[in-house]
Amino acid sequence: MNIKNNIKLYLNTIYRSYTMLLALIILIALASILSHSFLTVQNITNIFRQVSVMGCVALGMSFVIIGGSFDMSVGSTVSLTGILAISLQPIVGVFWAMAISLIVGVSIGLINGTIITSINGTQGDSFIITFGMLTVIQAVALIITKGFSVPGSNNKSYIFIGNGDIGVIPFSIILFVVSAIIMQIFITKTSHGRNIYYMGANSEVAKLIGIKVKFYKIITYMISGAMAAVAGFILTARVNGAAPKAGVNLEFEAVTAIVVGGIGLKGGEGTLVNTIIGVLIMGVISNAMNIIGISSQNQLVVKGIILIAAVCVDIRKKGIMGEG
Amino acid sequence: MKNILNFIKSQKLLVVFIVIFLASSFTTKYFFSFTNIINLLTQVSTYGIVAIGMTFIVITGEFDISVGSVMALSGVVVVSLINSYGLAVAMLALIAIGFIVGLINSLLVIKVKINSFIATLGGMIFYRGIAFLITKDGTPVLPKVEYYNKISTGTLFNIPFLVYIFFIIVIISEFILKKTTFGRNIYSTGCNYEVAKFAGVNVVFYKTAAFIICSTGAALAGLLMSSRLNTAAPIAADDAALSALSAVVLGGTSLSGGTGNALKTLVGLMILGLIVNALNMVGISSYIQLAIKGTLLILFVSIERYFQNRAQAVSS
Repeated sequence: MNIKNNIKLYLNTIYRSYTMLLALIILIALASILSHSFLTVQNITNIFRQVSVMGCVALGMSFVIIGGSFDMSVGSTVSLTGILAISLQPIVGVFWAMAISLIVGVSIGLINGTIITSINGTQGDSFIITFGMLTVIQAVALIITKGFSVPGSNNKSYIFIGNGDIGVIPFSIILFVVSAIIMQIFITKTSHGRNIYYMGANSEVAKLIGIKVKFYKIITYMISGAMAAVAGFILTARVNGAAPKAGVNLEFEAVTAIVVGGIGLKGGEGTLVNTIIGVLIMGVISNAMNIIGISSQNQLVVKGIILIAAVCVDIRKKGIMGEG
Repeated sequence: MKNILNFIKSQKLLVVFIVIFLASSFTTKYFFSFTNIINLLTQVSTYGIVAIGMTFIVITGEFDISVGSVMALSGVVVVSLINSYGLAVAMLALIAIGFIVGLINSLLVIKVKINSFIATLGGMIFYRGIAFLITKDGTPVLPKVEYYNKISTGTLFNIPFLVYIFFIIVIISEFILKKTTFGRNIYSTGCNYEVAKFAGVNVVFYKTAAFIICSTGAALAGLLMSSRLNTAAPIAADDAALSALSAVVLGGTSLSGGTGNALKTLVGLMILGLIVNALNMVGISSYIQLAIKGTLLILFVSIERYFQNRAQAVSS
């Protein structure tokens, strides 16, 4: 019986990680049949460039979600850190501008994590708290810029982050992949990573077996904030300018990608491979819609449905496994 | 003396409200004028209706953050329909929007068992997307009929209709929650879902009803807002969920469900309204107000949870 269960579990894991990969391949095939311009080198690099911003946000948020919480504040963190990185450059130079933005991103995570752990927040509380934080950071971004866009940097190495290529590969996607690899190793191969899984699966039990739940929760939020800052760099370097509302809806797109990739919102499961697949699926869908000529605002309709559908599928799968 | 102290203890927020009210009236001479008080009431009324609807859903232990998008969608739909088909069709559409959105939300939350925050987050994006689709790239829709603007801004005894509508809704909601079986069952659904179910309460029905009340309130608020501004934009009301949730939580309705009422939300709304009004008078920009609103939401939720945790620690 035990062996049978194990086999069932193993098959389910394979099923879960490969269905989405299969979906991605089918999507790519469909898109290339529908449009000849889809499967060109230029368009593929384009997709990668487009997803790298949302991808970085999603990588960071995956940590929070695997840890059993939620982070709504990442979108405005992207806006704020992007603005700081651009507007501080003339004053303190590129390096310090980026360093300060990164520190701001991490601090936002620290604040989120500290508030949520100090009130013993449930997942519901983490939604509300970071929802409030989203507004506060958005407001700070608006106050700093007085609501206007900030013209871009003229520093070549900064622009390189968003627009440069190494060979034919865009630098931003290298940044995304390298971060993904480091983070994947951290969460799957280290004891810290394991503790985050335990915490996400059952925070009470994790506490009882001696895991410093509060510490790890704060860490997940700090990682999320840091990755939002990296996304802010890529975004502002790519479009060469920063806007106080540039990151609006990014948290939503990141959650969608994460759930589409197969990480359950209950926490304690999934790896960054899921996130990457989800990010690519969303990238291909957006790109295909762009090619067909659907405006980004109208794409919201499709994306809203995808999020709900993905969550439904996730919950149904758990129901089949008898966990729901 | 003891009675007064007890009153202060039980009605902390009302005391806070009175203190802010008196403080504002002493600091600026314009505050205590009829125009300003009416202004204040008009300002809180639109989001106030959303907040009253939100109170129902929070009492059942769920959230709805799609309210802002529903407001925008209903505004856009109602104005477009009123231009071509008249008021009756527009009102039918409004009710249909409230009903369908509430039904979809409750279906996702109760039947599919999606966390209400995620379900309504998807909805929030989706409904705003539809509002954009209808308006063709986000151009605001303007009402072509004269009376539309009057629905909100027409006055009786110098008080706008909007304020009357809001207070009628508060009174009806308070009555429903406090005096009817329907209201009692809403509380028991939120207090303990399983127990209520075993006690024979049709929990699915009451949660669904709460979702429908919430989104219908938002749809109505969308009409009143577009009527007040005499325009309906798909980007409108993006801070509605934040403001409504803040008011509900500040009023003392617990996010864990089972407590709270419409009058509490009214007090929460008035306190927030007074703060915004005072900030406006001192000339603090709307961006800083946004920051203050967000901070207050975080603060209220944290304080509420803190005391809850402490109470739990004491009782165990």
